[in-house]
This record gives sequence, C-alpha cells and structure tokens, in this order.
Amino acid sequence: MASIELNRVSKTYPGGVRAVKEATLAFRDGEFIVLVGPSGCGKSTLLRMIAGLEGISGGTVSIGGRVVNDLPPKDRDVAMVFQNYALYPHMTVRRNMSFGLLRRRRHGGPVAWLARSQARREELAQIDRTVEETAATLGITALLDRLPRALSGGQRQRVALGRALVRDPAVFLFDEPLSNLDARLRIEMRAEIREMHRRTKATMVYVTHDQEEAMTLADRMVVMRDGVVQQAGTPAECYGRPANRFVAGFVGMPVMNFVDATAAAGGLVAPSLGTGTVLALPPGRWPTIPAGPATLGVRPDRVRVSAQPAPGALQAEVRAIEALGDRMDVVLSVGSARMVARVENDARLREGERAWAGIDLADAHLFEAGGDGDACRRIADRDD
Amino acid sequence: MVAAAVLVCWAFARVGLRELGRLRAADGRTTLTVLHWSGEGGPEEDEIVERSLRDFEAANPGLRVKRINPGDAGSFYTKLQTMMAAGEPPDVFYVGNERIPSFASLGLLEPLDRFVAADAASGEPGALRLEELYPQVVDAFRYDGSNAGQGTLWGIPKDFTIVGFYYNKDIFRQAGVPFPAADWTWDDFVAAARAIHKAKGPDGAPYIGAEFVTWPAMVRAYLFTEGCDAVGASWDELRLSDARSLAALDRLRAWRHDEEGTLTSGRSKIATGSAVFATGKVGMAGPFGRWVVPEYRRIKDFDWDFAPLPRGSERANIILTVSWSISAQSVHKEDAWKLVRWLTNEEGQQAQARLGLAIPSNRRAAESDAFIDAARPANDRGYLDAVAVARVIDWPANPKFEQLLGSNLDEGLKTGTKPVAEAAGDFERLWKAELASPLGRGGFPPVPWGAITAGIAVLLAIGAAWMVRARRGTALALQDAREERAGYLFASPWIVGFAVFMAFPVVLSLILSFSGWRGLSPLGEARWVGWGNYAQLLGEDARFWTSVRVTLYYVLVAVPLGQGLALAAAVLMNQKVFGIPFFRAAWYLPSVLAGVGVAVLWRWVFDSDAGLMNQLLGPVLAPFGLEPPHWFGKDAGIWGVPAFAIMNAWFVGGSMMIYLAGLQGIPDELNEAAQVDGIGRVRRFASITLPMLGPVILFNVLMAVIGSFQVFTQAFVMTGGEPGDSTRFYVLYLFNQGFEFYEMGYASAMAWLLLLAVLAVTAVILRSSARHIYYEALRK
Amino acid sequence: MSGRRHPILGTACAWTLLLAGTAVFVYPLLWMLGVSLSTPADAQAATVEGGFVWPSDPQLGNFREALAQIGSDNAAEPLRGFKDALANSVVVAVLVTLGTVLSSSLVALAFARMRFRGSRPLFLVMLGTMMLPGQVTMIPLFILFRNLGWVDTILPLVVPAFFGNAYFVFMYRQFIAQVPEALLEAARLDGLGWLGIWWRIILPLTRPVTAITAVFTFIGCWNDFLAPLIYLQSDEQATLAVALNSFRNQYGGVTKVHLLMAASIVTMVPCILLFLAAQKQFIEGLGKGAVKG
Repeated sequence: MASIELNRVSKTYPGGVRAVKEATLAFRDGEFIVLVGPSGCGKSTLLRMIAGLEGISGGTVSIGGRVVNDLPPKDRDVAMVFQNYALYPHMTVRRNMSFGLLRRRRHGGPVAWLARSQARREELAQIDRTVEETAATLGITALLDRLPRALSGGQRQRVALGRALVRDPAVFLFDEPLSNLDARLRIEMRAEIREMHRRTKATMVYVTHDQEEAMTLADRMVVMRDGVVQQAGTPAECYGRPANRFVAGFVGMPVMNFVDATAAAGGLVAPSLGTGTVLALPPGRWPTIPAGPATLGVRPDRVRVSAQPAPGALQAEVRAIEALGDRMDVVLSVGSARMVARVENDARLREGERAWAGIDLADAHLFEAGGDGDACRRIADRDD
Repeated sequence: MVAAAVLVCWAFARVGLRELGRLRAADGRTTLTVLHWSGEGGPEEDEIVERSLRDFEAANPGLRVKRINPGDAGSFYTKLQTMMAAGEPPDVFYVGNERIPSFASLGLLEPLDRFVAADAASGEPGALRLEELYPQVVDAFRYDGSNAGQGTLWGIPKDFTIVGFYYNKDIFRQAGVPFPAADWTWDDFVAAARAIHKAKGPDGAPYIGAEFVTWPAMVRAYLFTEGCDAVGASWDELRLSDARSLAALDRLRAWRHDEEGTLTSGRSKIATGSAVFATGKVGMAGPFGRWVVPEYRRIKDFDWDFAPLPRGSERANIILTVSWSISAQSVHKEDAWKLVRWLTNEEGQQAQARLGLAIPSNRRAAESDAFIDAARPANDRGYLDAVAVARVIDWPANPKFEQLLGSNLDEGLKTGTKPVAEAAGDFERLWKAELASPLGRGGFPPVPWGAITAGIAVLLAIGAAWMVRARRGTALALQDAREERAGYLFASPWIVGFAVFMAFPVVLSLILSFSGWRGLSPLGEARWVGWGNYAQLLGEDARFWTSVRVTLYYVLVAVPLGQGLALAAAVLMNQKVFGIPFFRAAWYLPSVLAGVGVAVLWRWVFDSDAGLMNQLLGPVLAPFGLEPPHWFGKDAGIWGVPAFAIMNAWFVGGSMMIYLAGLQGIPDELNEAAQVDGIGRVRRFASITLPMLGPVILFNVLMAVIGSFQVFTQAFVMTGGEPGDSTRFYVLYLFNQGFEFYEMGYASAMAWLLLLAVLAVTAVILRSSARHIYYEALRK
Repeated sequence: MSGRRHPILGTACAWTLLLAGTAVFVYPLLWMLGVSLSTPADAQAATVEGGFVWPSDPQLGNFREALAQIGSDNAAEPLRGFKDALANSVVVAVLVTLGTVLSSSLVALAFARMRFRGSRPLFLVMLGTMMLPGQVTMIPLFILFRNLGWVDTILPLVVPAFFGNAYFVFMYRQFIAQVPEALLEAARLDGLGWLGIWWRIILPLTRPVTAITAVFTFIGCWNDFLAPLIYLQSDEQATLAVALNSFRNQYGGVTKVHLLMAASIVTMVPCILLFLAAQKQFIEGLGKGAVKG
C-alpha cells in the first residue's frame, strides 16, 4: 500500500520562516496528486518533506500507513525526478539508472566481490535486465552508454524518469521536472508521464507552478499559497468550485475576471462597470446572499463581446486583442474595470474602438469581500 | 602512468623491507651513534670514515656503530642541534675548534682528561698517546671557561690545517716573479700580485694578482701577522679600532678597491675563492688551508704550489682544526672513547692524509710519506714548518661575535660600503651592546610550567562550558541533528589537526617567546624573561630592524613586480593564438622546480661578472656609460633585494595560472557589449576586466604579500644573508637566532612579531579592499 | 578579446612576446642542462666567468657519477644511496599527497554542504591559519614530536598531512559548493550516506581540484628540505632534497657544479613529468572556479 497521509505537517526554518503551515492531506494509493501554486508557496518543501530531504518541524508524514518522519530518504521507498535532472555527470546513462539498485543489492560489498558468488552474478544480471527493459520502455536504449552531457534536455529527462522507474518504488515524486523543457517537448513528456502512471499504477506526487500542467495530469490537485493548502480536489472541482478567490484566480487561463460589487436584493450593484450598473443574478443560484460587498468572478469565456450594441450588454472599450488562431482574447475596459473576454474570431472588433460586453452569469461565482483579497472564500451556491 | 605505479610500488617495497630489517636488527649490542660531515672531502672522506668504523666494529664485536652524515657543515650543525634537542645526541661527533667554547659552556661535551690519563697510565696497545699529537693542535680543544687553548680537554683533533696562499707556478714564471720564499712578506705578496697583473693570459686578458678571502678567521690571521687582533686579553677588550689594526685593514682594503687587478673584488658566493684559482686566471689564492688540495690536485692545466701566510711585522699563522668529541649525555662514554681513539690512531690518520685533505694531527703520520708525498703540493713541509708559529684562533662562547665581526668586515672590506674605521667601530659598538644586553645578564627565574599548564586548562574549561551553554536551547530536528553530527565528524580531522599541530604549538610558541631557552638544553631549564626578548628585539637589536627593512623592501618590490607580470602574462595567455598550451606549460614550468640546484643556478645568474643578468645588461647599459650592478657584491645594499624579487618573478607561473582562470571566468558578454558600445581595448580592460578580476587579484596579492614576508630558503642557500646583512631577510634572521645561536626564546618572539605583522597587513588589505571589490556572497 | 583589426599583426605580436618570455623562462634550465653535461673544468668556467657554451662533448657520464655520489655505502650496491633517497622521497611524497587529498576533500565536504553549528567561525579560523607563518610552529612542533618519540621516523612528515590542509580545503570547498544540491539529494535517495557521497560523487566530480592538490602537494613535499633534515636522522632515510646537500662543501660553496646540476636535473624530472601529465586537469580545475575569491 502506498497511500500517503500528511497530518498537520509544518516546516519552519531557523530564523522563523514558516514554509509550510499545518498541511493535512490524504493521498490514496495509486493517485496522481499535483501540488500546484506560485513560487514560494511551499509545494516543493512539502514534496521534499515526503521524500525525506527536508526535516519535518511539526506533524507526521506517513507512507503506506507507516510514519516516516524519522526515516532517511533511502528507507522510504520513494523515487524522485528533479527539475534539473540531477543525473550523475560522470556516469553513463546505464550506470545512472542502475546506481540505486546497485547500492541496494543484497550481495554487494568487497567480500562478495572477492567471493564472486553465483548469487552476486545473478543479482547483477537481474539489475542489467531491469535497466534494459526500462530503457526500452522509454525509448532510450540507444543512449545507454552515453554520458549525460552528450544528451539533449528531453533525453536527460527521460533518463531521469528511467532512473526512478527502475527502482519500482511505492511513491514517485516529481519536482517541476518539465520546467526546463520547451513547450512542445513539455506536452510530449506530459503524455509520457501519464502513460507511466497508467502502467505502474503507483502513487505519484507531482509539483508544478503551471496550472495547466496540473489540470491535465492530476487525479487530484492541491493548490497552495504561502505555505497553506488552499484547496485539495479534482481539477474539475478546483476549476468549477474554487474554494476561494486565490484558487479561482489561479486555476484556469486566462485568469478569471474579478469585479468589486455590492450584493443587494436579487442583484449586484457594480459601479465599477459603469455608473449605475446593476447585474441581475440568476434566480435560485444563490439561495442566501448576505447583503453587502462581494466580489463577482466571471471566467473570460463567459464574456461576450460585439461591435454592435446588444441587449443587456455594457459599454466597453477594446484595449488589446490577442489573436490565438482559432479564437481571440480581448482585453476590455468596462467602466473603470478591466476585463478579459475569450471569444471567437471577429474581425469587426478593433483595438481602441468601442464595443459591447455581455456577461453571462450562469457560471459566475461570488466571493466574500474583505481584507486579504485572495483568501476571500467563495460564497456557497446551490451547486455545492 | 604504469611506470609511475611501478615506481611507487618499488619504493614502498624497498622502504618497507628496510624498516623491517631495522626492527629485526635491533639486537642486544650496544649501538654508538657517530655524526660527521664530509663537505670538501666529499665521498672519499665519507668512505674513509665508513671503512674506519667497520674495521672498528670488526675489532669490537660487542659494539655497533650507526653513522650519520648530513652532507655539509651547515647541515651538520643543524642536525646536531636537533638531535641534542631531541634528547638523543650522537655519542661521537665532529666539532670545529671555533665551536668548542660555546659547546663546552652549554655542557654538551664530555671532558676527556680522565680518559687520556687512564690511557697514559694503562699503556695498552690501542691507547691514545697524547704526546704523539701536535700540542698546539691539541690545545685548540682546551677551554677553561673563558679562553681557548688552556684548561679542560674537550676533543681529540682528527686533523688540522694552517693557512697560506696557493700560487700558480706557470703564471709566476711568465710574469718573471720569483716563487714565494719561506719567510716572504706582505710586501713580497703585493709586489707579486701587481707584477702578475701586468702579464697577460692566452686570451689576451691580464691576470688578476690574487684572490684574498676576507673570512673573519682569515682576517684575524692577517692581523696576527701585524701583531694585532680584534680583541685583547678578554672578550670585552676590543682592539679592532686600534691604530695598528685599522692601518692593516685599510691597507687590505686599498689593495682590493683602490688598485686595479691586484686583488679580485668580492666574487660571488657560488664560486668560492678556491674555485677561482682553478680557472688559471689568478696568480695566487688564499688564505686557504689544506682542504682545497683534493680539488686542486685535479687541475691539469698548470702547475701550482703552496706558501704559508706571508710575514708582517711578525710571523704568524692560525690553526683550524676539527675534533672528535663525546657527548656529555652519552650513555656509553667508555665505548665512545674507544671509538674516538680508534678514529684518531695512526692508521686512520694516514688514510686521511693520503686524501690530501688535511694535516694529520698525529705527528708521526704527518712526517710519514702518507702526508709528505710526491703528489702536489710539492711544499708539504711548508705546512708543518708553519705549525711552529701558528696559534689557535679562538672565539668566545657567544657565537654572535663571529657573525658580527664577519658582517661588519664584509662591509668594510668586501662591499666597501663603509670605511674600515667605521666598520670596525660598528662592530665594537654592536659587540659591546651584545655583552651589555639585558638578556645577556642572566639570572632569570625558571619558566613556571606548572602554573602555565594549569592556567590554560582553566581557560579551556571555561571555553568548553560556555560553548555547552550556548548550544543548549535550540533543539534540532532529527535530520538536521544527523547532518550536524556528520558535519562534526567529517570536519574532525581538520579540527583535531588544528588543535594539535597549530593551536598547541602556537600557544607554546607564545610562552617560549617570553622565555630564554637555549634549544640544546631540556625544556625544563627554560628561563622566564617576561618582555625581555621583545624589548631586546625592538629596542636594542639593530640587526632586527635591518631584517625588517630588507623584508619590507622586498615586499614592496616583489609583490607589484610579480603580480603585475603574472597578470600581464595571463592576459597574453588568454589570446586565442596557436600553440598556447605549449607556452603555458613552458611559462609555468619553473614554478615546479626548487632545490639546491635551482638556487645555485640563480646565484650564477646574478653573478657580478659572469652572470647571465649582467652579461645581458652590460651591452645595454654601456652606451649610457653605465655599468650593471654588482648584485651580491658591492651594490648588494641596493640591488641585493631586487635580485631576489627578479628571481621570484621567474616563478610567476602559479599566479599566472590563477589570473588566467579568473580571466576565463569573465563572461564574454560583458566585453562584447562594451565592444558594441564602441569602448576601446584599454578602457575595456580597465573598466571591465580589472574590476571583475577584483576578488582574484585580492586573493593573489594577499597570498603574495604573506609569502614574501616569509622568504627564507632562497636567501639561505644563495647568500646566507650576506654580504653583511643586506639580504638578511626576517625569517633568515629568525633561523639564525634559533638554529645557529640556539636562542629559541628569542626566535619565538621574532616569530610572534611576524605573525602580528602579517595579521595587521592582512586586515589592512582586506579592509581597504572591501570598498573596491565586487563580491558575490560567500555561501548561501 | 577580438583581433579583428589586425589579425596577423596581433598574432605576430603575441607570438613575439610569448617566445621572448619562453626564452627567459627556459634559458636558465638550458644552462643547467648544459652545465650538467660539461666537463668539470668547463662547468667551473661557466660559473666563474660566464660565457656559457653548449658542451661540444656531452658528458653523459656525469649523471651516473652524480648519482653514485649520493649517500654512502655505494660499494655494497651500486647507486645505493641514490636508490634509498629516491625510495624515501617517493614514499613520503606519495603518502603526504594521498593524505592531503583524502582529508582535505572530506573536510571540505563538511564545510561546503553540511550544516552544523559553529561551521562559520571554524571556517574563518581555518582561513586565518593560512596566514600563519610556519616558523611560529616549527620549534614547538619539534618538541611535540620529540616527546612522542617520532623523531627519526617519517611520521612527523606524513601524519600531519592526514589532518587536512587549509589551502586545499578552501579550494575543494569552492568547487564542491558548485555541485548542484539536487545531485546530492538524488544520491541520498539512491541510498548513499555522506561517506558514499564523498567517495562516489564528490571525489569523481572534483577531479580537477584533486589534480591541483596532488601536483602542488607532491612537488612541495618532493622539494622539501628543512623538515626531512630535522626529523630524519639516519643516512638511509634521507630524501633526495636532503641528499643533494652533500654537493655543498663545508663553506657553503660548490665545487662540483656539473655533478650538482646533473643530480638536480634528475631530481626535478619526476616533478616535471607529473606536471605535464596532470596539466589538462590542472587547468580545467583552475578554470572551474576553484579559486574564486
């Protein structure tokens, strides 16, 4: 069993910096978990605490039901793939991949070498086979006798994957492994990793700052900020029912549009969109809305833009248009607010000209307003 | 590579087997240790001693002899001193007669009178018969506590020599000068020299009249012939400035400096006076003893002979001799005595005599045909006749006398930097200061070792307690605690090493600097002098300040020169030109070399007449009417130190490599951006390259400064600090004090002053650099 | 550094300087070689009068003669003194080099990568010791070794090398600090402890520094004169550097210059060979920032 349990895990550095604050999470055996968040949010630290590369200041980490706080990394049955590959530069690919296995064998050491026992030979042969098989799976058989410096970035990452695979661990850990690759390669490797997950059925914990990567890879994702877990759920949950403004703004591209407003009976008064703007809320969507300030969140794909006035649309000015080939992102000034709309190609929209923006509130979200904007929770609606 | 591996295995095997052999051979026999040198006698003398000892072992089955020969006399005395300090002195060893007073005063030697008396009474076959030896020579080893020549007998002379001049018969004939008579005078001498200079050699250049070395012993011999001396009846009665002495010295100086070609003028050290004679370009050479004979016997080009010292107002000569002595701490004195008389018996003496190296102290051997032989010199009798008028040249127990005399005489006679009257006056002044110095007085309390140890223990305990307290508090996570333990474990070799090999010696050295301790005696006899050493150094010791001046002069010349050259070389090496690796290796090669050979090499380079430097500079300077300097001759005061600096530049390869590495570490983009901006080369170098090199320059300069404070080996081998004190670097002077005068406390004080100076300079350099250097953080 | 304006002129300039410099650096060595091959008379002439000329009749026999004069007891075994001195030098130099490399890299790893309280002050103290003049400790160390009974053995020469050398610890540390932390973490996950990391990862990766350390240490030890003189007593234990001393006479001068030069050249050969062999690694090491401030 390779489930992982984190119970109020914290990391405080000497000097008082708290990198992770009381994270409590449970990962099931075989899940693909992605830890995602901006730089410095503590995701890497959390991963390294699972690996044993970082000491645990508080709480417990359990792997397979066993508390591993005091276990050194090599005893935790985990393998890690690093951002910078961390291949041993002075060893061939074959050696890089077999290194961990060689260190763990039962018939190692000078005594066995002298004795040249049969068991030792068999063990070595087994290791060789494992390496070759794994290399074949990753398509790097031709590279086995090369040194890392003779490989491209993508090849190196494959070798790094191979090194982890060969160990057949209970848990795979990935620390932003694709950040150093170009876009196309990244997408290709993503698919490989998913394939890897399918084949091995192992628990995988993956760290990235790229929310798109998280969305495509994760069974469940854990969004973190400033050392605190913001939300842990499936990509759909994080996207469709973000726990707070931060998660809402972090997951999904382009970023959700946020509008300051005041909730009143049946409607939202949003002066920033234009004096006197009142938006009618879909009936029944929010059973109870406390009156008062709230923030409206609307995804760009729910904002329509037309060059001609449309019923219920707000006056806007087109600030910029980013053409993406099959669609466009249009940056608008609506009143004093700035909004982004993702629409189909429309040649009639031109930068600097007037336009009309229609906001579809069907899938909109409301957030509490208050001090720390990002922490404002989403106001529960009838879908919860 | 394979060859290297084979060599290493062979070496270990050889050493291993040898050591095992040594352990096994440690049998029950008594072992006597014999220490001697073989300098001029070379391997032949070595062989003679070895054979003699083996015969001794054969004749005395219960005894074994272990022989140690460190090479030359200088190394011999260093080795002797360390063996004494180690508490394991050799049983039997050479002592030059000049050292008898100081050794005897230190209680290092065993008085031999009782052995001689026992032998005389017993009359057994191997017994020593003192009357068989030349009495004057034996008396050279008597010392009564204040004067040599009388009192207790401290050694049995193995051989001796008197001094005189060797002359080139062919040149004499050519110049029409009659050969020296038995009682020739100084007037005869100088007339011959002048006449010789008028004759020309086969290459058309005129001969030089004579080589006249000005070693203290020889100068005193010269004074003896004029009825004067440096001292009077006792050591505080100085007579060097008497009218007669000054007249004689001045006459010598005039011959040397005022007359062209009469005497050679202060040759380089590489070719001692004796070698000059062998070239066949001088008419006479001396005053030398018999020791040059083996070398001169190899001369094939001309015929030569020997004439004892010329007469002045009286006939005089000196006896230089070496004895076999027994250590006072020997535990086998009776057996050692057996060895001593074996080594000085007639057969041994005859064997030595055949070498030609010295006059046997045994009269019968001297009169035999082992000495009076057909080999050159023809005038063997001349040596023996001179013995009658020869006296032992004695020195006080304080070895500084000879050093001071030597260095001041050099300045008057050799380099000519001072008039003789002034040089003599300086010597007298310094010697009187030495006698009167507070340290010279004595009567100090012993060092309170017990109290000191207790005090240190208390300090350590307090330190430990404080550290324990500071650590309680921050508990560490297990991982971090493990890492910490590993950290201490892995760093422990250095920590332990530091404590044992650095902290402890430094502390001990500090304590020693407050004590007066003659290194030859046990540590327990060290005396506490408080600030005495420092006071003496800073207040009274003029030579200390000279050494400081010499060293600072060197630092100011060598560091800019060396570092500038290294940087320029690195810039040159950074060019992408074909063949750079070859040049790089060639320029770096000198810095992997060292040793006596290299030192001799550079001594030649700076030779005043024949050296490479002056051979190159001569033609360059001649059009301006200038002469290249006599680096280690008369211009040593100004040019001696720069010579060392120039030599140091030869070893610049190491610094060059580091600068090269630094240059290659500068990102090309910086220079490229500047190029695009149109900034010229020189400006680019000054504004980009130099600042980026900042940390590297700092590191190099710092290391260079620290290193130049510690110049020692080159000076030791090349000039020994001479002429005078013009190249007496600080550490060389420290070494003199510690290992030649055995003043360990004084030397420790000097070492501590050096340490403080280095720290101060380092602090100044680092502080002033902090403003100018662009640094990246040292560690995360 | 572009030479675009006058590539040929620039190269010519550079070559001129390089050649001139090489001549300056190499000529003295050639002189040594020349003297070593001269007859005794010619050698003396060269030292006294100058006018060095390459000997028309190279006396290769000088080398054998010079080596035969080293040490004593050469009747029993030809060149025995030389062989003993050579073996001694090799043993001492190899042991010292080994000890220095192993201990310095170990200590450097601790300072570079392990966090322990007091590591900063200790490191600064270590830097400070680099400035300590050796003379301050010379005499007390002798007393220490005397009391340990180590005089007349090679222990005083060899043992301190196994306790780390500040200069090289510093160099190793700079180098090790550049090894990516991720590499060590990967190693830890693969099952290596600190010792394994040191042996299998750090040492292979710091080969250039090892080359520098080995070359400097070996050469320094090979040429060291004072320490063997003080601590080694018997003839048969002398190293080559000390043995060369026997060519100097009682008064510090030199009579057999040609033999001295011949012997010196023989003594220098291993150093030169070692340097040439390690040159590539050496340069690489310096280049990789082994000595960044």
